[in-house]
Amino acid sequence: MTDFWAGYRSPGFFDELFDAHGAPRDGARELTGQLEAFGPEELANRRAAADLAIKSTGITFTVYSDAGMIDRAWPFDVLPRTIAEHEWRRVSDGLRQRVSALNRFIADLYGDQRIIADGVLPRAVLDQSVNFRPECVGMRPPGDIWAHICGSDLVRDGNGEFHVLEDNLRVPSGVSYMVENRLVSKRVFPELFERHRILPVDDYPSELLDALNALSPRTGITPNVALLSPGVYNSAFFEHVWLAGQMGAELVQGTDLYVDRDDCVYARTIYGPQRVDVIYRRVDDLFLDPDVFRSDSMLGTPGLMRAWRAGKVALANAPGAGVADDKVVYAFVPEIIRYYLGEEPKLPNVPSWLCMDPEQREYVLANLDTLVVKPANESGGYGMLIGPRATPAERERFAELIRANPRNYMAQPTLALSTAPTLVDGRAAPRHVDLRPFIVSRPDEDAFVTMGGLTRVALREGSLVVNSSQGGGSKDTWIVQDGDA
Amino acid sequence: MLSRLAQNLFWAGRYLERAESGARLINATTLLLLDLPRQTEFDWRALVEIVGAEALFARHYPDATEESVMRFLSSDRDHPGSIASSLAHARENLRHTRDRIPREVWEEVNGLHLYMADEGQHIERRLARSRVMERVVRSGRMVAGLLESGMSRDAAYDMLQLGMAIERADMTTRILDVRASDLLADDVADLPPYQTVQWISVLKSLSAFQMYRRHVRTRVTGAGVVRFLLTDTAFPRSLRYCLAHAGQRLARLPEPEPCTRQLDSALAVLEQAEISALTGHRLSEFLDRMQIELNRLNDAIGARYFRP
Repeated sequence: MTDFWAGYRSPGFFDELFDAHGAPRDGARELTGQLEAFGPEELANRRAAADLAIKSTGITFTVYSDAGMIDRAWPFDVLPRTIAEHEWRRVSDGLRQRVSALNRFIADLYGDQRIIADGVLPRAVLDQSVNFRPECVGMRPPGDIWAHICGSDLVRDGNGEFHVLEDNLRVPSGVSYMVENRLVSKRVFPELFERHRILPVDDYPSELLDALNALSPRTGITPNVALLSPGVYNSAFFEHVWLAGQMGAELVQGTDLYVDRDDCVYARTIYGPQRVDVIYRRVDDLFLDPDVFRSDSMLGTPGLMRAWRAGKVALANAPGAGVADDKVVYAFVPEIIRYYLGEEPKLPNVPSWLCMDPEQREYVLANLDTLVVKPANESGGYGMLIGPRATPAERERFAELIRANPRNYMAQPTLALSTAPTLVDGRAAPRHVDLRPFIVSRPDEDAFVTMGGLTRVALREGSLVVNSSQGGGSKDTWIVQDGDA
Repeated sequence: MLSRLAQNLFWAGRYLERAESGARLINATTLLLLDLPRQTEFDWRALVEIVGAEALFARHYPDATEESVMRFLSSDRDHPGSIASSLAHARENLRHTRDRIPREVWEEVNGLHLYMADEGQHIERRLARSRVMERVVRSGRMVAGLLESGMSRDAAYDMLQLGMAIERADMTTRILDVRASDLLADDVADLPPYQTVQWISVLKSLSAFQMYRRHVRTRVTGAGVVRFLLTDTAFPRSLRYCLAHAGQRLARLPEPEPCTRQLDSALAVLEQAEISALTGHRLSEFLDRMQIELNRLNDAIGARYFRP
């Protein structure tokens, strides 16, 4: 090790770039050497160039505060995170297996509910699920695929083994940043891309468009695909615009659409009504159709569910797919994989305790100071208790919440998330990271898994919170071809 | 194209053009000031009248001084017609339509918006101010070039151009309306060297001076400038050219009849006017009439395309 890396240590954690002896891992050797050769001054220049690129291209995300809506520049750390190709192939296989089982599971819950009849899933889990939509019972979307787009959060434990932390099956976001991060790194570190074989990530929009086209109820014509967004005030609006642009799909809001008496969906255009065949919706279930769900929704289109049930329009993800995106259902996923596929899970879950089970609940209540407690249906890191960091009063408040509504809570050990070198005040410092790959499932072909995914990094020292709304940043994620340094 | 997006693009076009026109106006006025004898009273209120915001200005500023008027017109976000506000609106409209316009256009507008929010605040000193205004104009030209060479001639393009053409027509009538004679106090305006200076300034605020010289080739007179800016068929900021341009864009859009009827009405008002007689209050009346026609055209476009 020479100057730039001198003093870089991440004791007690698995580091993405260096092994326990401080030697670069597979796929990271060339990168770490090059970063060393740049020196701190050059790296500071590159970092400034990256900040400028992000600001001038307007890569933003939106946060809410008392002062209203703020459009913030996307936080990006220039030091990439590497994963060797052979390792990534194993992880992708595990993700494909997992999402395939989850789709079978969702189809079963809205169909015969065999998994409950066979005693694998307690009926109580379904009865108290806030994301189960009785309005969807009996529906058969094309190929029985409900979750067309899944974003799963992966973390490594202290031994470096990848675990699934959660599956996002409703409206997962982040894929645009994965692709934009790569563009920024290419702009900032062109020479690194000459030395490495880094597998490309920018085919995602084409894969997604193919998958959406495959859902069209009309055959023999090029389908009209629309991306339904809640609009400019949504935190992921940047991504909606980005994806629509990359796919050549129409970016619509609920008021742009209407459902006619023929049950077909039409867009209001300057040419008159134009039929829409496939909707990639980034609006939550409950806001999709005020006739069926929340009647006060301004984001949806009245009649949309009627059109979907009549088979006149495809919705991705299907309404109700979120039933498998529940932190209590999560704990059953290994059983779900065994039940539907007859296989052992290739990617493990993080160990979990369910508060609905009296014995497990007692364990959780007795160990609140070491556990992370999560509500079943929140996302974005909200409503969690991080035991070791909480005050006794906060822990007491959570104990009451758990006793009042045990089905709504589950707990996991505080994870020793892996670290990756991150530029802090001109030096490399270890910061915790996770990884969100995206899996696109379709009726006619094998699922597609992104090459790597979006690496999120907790920028505060020691912090485990990677959400961009709460001080997290991101990194470019390199799947480095085997045989390369 | 979605009706909502058509509306965003039309207004993005209007706001972009408005920001650029505002910068030209400020620059031309600053240059005019340098030509005036010292101690000349310059009526800053005239600039506020051009943008039609006298009441709002009076609510926010006690006096019409160089600094207060410049701030009001350029960086004041409480003034919806300021350059900074126009850019913010243009950006907001383009944000909805980022998938429809060349990426570089978005980057340029976004960059300019950030620049105005930051550097654009420093406009007290004339040197810094002219630098800021030149940047706004240059970005406007950059966007025009990027659209010209990088955007397919689709309905999105037509909507943007339509908005720009109508805003241009609007700005030309506004600048004429506050005739150069109002910019200077009478005693100065009557001095021989300054009779033409104010009309040259009107031409310069529309970047029309060079083309006027080339095509009119007589000394700059009030009558000549009025005729040139209203009826010239070749100069892109003349009223007639802007209306003709708007007509060409409309002709490419689906079933434009309600809008073209209104456009023909505006053109008829122009054709029937006796241009050489348009001085003093007659010019004012004519321009007021034209403003009403332009507003009706704006409304006809909204009714036809934005609210089907």
